[in-house]
Amino acid sequence: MYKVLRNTHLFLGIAAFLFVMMYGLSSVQMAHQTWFSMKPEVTETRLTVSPETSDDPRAIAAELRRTGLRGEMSTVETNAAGYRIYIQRPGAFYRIDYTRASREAKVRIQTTGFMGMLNRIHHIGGTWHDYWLINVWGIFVALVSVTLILLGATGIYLWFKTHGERAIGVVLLAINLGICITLLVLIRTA
Amino acid sequence: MNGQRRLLYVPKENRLRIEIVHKSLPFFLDDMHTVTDLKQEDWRLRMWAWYNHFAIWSLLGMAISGVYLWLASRPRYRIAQYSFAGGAAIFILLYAVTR
Repeated sequence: MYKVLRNTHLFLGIAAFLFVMMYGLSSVQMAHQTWFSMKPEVTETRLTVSPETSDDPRAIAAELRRTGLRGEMSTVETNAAGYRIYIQRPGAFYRIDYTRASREAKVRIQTTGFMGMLNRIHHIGGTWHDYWLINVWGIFVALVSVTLILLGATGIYLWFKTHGERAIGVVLLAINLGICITLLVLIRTA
Repeated sequence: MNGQRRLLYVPKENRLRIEIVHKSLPFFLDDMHTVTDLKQEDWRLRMWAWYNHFAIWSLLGMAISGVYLWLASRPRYRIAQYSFAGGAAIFILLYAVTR
């Protein structure tokens, strides 16, 4: 049993290494926002929507996607001139101002650097998105979530089986759980 | 953090109605995992922010020391090499395609 769980811990841990680093580094970025420059690169372009395309924002977004705007349509705002459509994926954010009369779309493109990309990947969850790549990330994020739980459980087991480190481990675990659960209960019941 | 308090003043009755809406446990935990601002007014949240900082650095430390322990103990273990290469390849490929 020990050997099986030790190998399971090893395989899962190193397979998920880059995913865990992504969570760790993006958490550092979010906790220390002044440490990293998150200024996006901004460019603008204008596209014309073909007359055959219906006036529906989803159809407009679908046509714009065919021109190379990749991502999920997140928000649509209707205004007097037409629509403001937002399409995003980790690393890129498009704000599209579509004018109904001219069928022209002014596209503002924000692209982020490495840390911005990690930040956005950190927030991915679920497989209900309308951009397939975010759903693929969602599947791996779910697998990594289960992996983290298994790593914790097998880690505790492996430590418990190392008799020489039981005493210090019990003390550290008790302090950790004591602080964590006490604070959670105090905040929850405040 | 644990929900919303809505205060409604009812002038006719000269009363203040307080509605407490508690968040469900998953939403509460979701919010709690984002608390990292160390300048919280509430001491409990301030402590929790420190705890989260400790957890973030611990996570990075565990990931890096885990790989070190593998390389220091069984670097030629084939299945471990495949696990590492497979996981890294998936992440790098997804990152590159998404970029």
